[in-house]
Amino acid sequence: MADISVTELSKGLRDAITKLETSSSLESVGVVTRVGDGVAWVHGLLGAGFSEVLQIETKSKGVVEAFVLNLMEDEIGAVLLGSDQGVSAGDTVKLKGEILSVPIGPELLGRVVNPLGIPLDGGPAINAKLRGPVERDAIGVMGRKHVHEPLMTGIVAIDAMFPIGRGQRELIIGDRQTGKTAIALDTMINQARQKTGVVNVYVAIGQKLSKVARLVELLRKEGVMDQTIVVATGPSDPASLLYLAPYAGTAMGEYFRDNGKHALMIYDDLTKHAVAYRQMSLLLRRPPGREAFPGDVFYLHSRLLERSSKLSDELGAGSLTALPIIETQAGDISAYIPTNVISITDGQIFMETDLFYQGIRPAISAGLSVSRVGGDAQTKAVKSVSGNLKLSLSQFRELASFAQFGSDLDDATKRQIERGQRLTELLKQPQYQPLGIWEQVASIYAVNEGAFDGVTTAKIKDAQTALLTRLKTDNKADMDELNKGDKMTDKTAELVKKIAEKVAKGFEG
Amino acid sequence: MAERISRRKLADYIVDRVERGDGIGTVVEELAAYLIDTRRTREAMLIVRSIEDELAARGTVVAHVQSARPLSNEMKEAIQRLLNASTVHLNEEVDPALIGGIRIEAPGKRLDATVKRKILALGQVKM
Repeated sequence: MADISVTELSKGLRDAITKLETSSSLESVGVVTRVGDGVAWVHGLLGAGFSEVLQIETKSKGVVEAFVLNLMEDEIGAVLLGSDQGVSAGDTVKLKGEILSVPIGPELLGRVVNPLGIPLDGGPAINAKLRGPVERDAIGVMGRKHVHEPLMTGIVAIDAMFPIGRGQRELIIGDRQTGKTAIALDTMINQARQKTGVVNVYVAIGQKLSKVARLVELLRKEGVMDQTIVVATGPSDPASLLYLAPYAGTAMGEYFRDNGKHALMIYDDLTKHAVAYRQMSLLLRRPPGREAFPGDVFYLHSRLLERSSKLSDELGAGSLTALPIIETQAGDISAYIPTNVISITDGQIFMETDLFYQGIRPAISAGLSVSRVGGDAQTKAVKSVSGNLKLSLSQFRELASFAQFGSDLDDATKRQIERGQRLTELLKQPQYQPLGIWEQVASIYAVNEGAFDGVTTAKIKDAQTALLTRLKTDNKADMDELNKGDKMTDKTAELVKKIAEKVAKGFEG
Repeated sequence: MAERISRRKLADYIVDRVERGDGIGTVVEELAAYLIDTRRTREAMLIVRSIEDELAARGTVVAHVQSARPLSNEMKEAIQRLLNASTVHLNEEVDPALIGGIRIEAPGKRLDATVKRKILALGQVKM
């Protein structure tokens, strides 16, 4: 028999009794009149507020919580935060006296939790000292500062052409299976590799739990999990949890922003979030609008993404960057939810199926992608070498399709096409291999300066690898200096060019 | 079709009528006829609750009190003070199974200070 400590037992009992002692005052109660599909309708509780938590005393399942979304003359519509199995008409409903909140703080790092902050990773309960409201107003105008620090993704195509700054909202949009999550994942890995100190919060909204499990496993393996919080909801969770997930995750990220640190939010994906909200709204009998989404589906996402911000120095200069993900159908970015989120965010990275199957991965479309505020935040070193990269790549893609028909091309066009092919090849990047600043700068500079002009397109990647290996072994000090992000000195530029030309000789022909 | 009248408006109207001195029997009959006509008979119990709520808001509380032993006069006065209404009607019920303490159910309000509930709640606490 286990050894039972009597002192501990009596203390536990006393604590339990204190907790159970209720003040001898009347408490407001209502009654469930109807329930079904995760929604309960409650009569009474005239004092209930919007988004307030209700406690339903069920006969078989103990207390089930719900939160108020519809306040009507005769009844309250509340969405259950758990299964509706045990809830039945006639059950008593009490006010919990608080709005929804989740545990926040450093205790959550390395954990996988659900949107209510309950661990899903089999670890111990989370003893966070603080709780943060799930719904919170965004920071006002005076509390903000313009986006000016880089958030390196480690993906050359993004960092060079569509730089993301801390506090920016950059949408990742594309069809299924085009590598959207891969970009988010690489960005998280890069934060750990480059030791940027940015905390990652990955919010899985209705994602297959097998996918989430694989992702967590990978993050553990890459050593990223120590600075990551995963908020996971699966397809079998109630719509209420899917709806809450991004707000709960943001509350956890805001803790770091408000304490002068930097956090990165990944919402994977907001299409499913809108669908979950549509389900809830329709069950709450709210009038449907376009594509049966409720009228406030724009506000649903705008209030979420507005919470991402770069704080002013007075508020500690922390930041919350957001990478929301949207899944399109057959590349249609003019559908309802994609256009909404495109207009809310500060730019988008558009993933193209065609590019993906041509083997150009990451399949980022140079023409349709944009970063509206990241220019100021771009690392100076990268900025100095990637000046007209986007333009020449867009021109190349246009020329390339045009050149398929004609064989007689003038020399200038031919050169442009060849350079474009080399650039395209250079911007290909395997998954889970984000590059540091010096690696990006050296690679782009070598191609731009024409050092690789003699190298066949098929061998560009090999030449790049050889160049980077040589630079790392022979000129580590210079490269460490370059990795700090300042503009490349003439001496370093000369050095990179010289080594690149030397390396290129081995890959010619 | 006429606009659906909310339960709160119906309750408000009925309490008005009763306060004006119309006979309760007549009012109830009219309400029943209205509910049948508008096919809302299923809402009858909810409307009764709404009428109780409305009466309570106007100072007349009908409360159901359960206790393990018959209530003393001081106790009844204390309950009336607690309910804080000008007129309080108490429906008393003695239930020895409660072991001790008292349970009051008023419109939209509840107080459960019975020993039985505390013991049951203690049984559910994970130590």
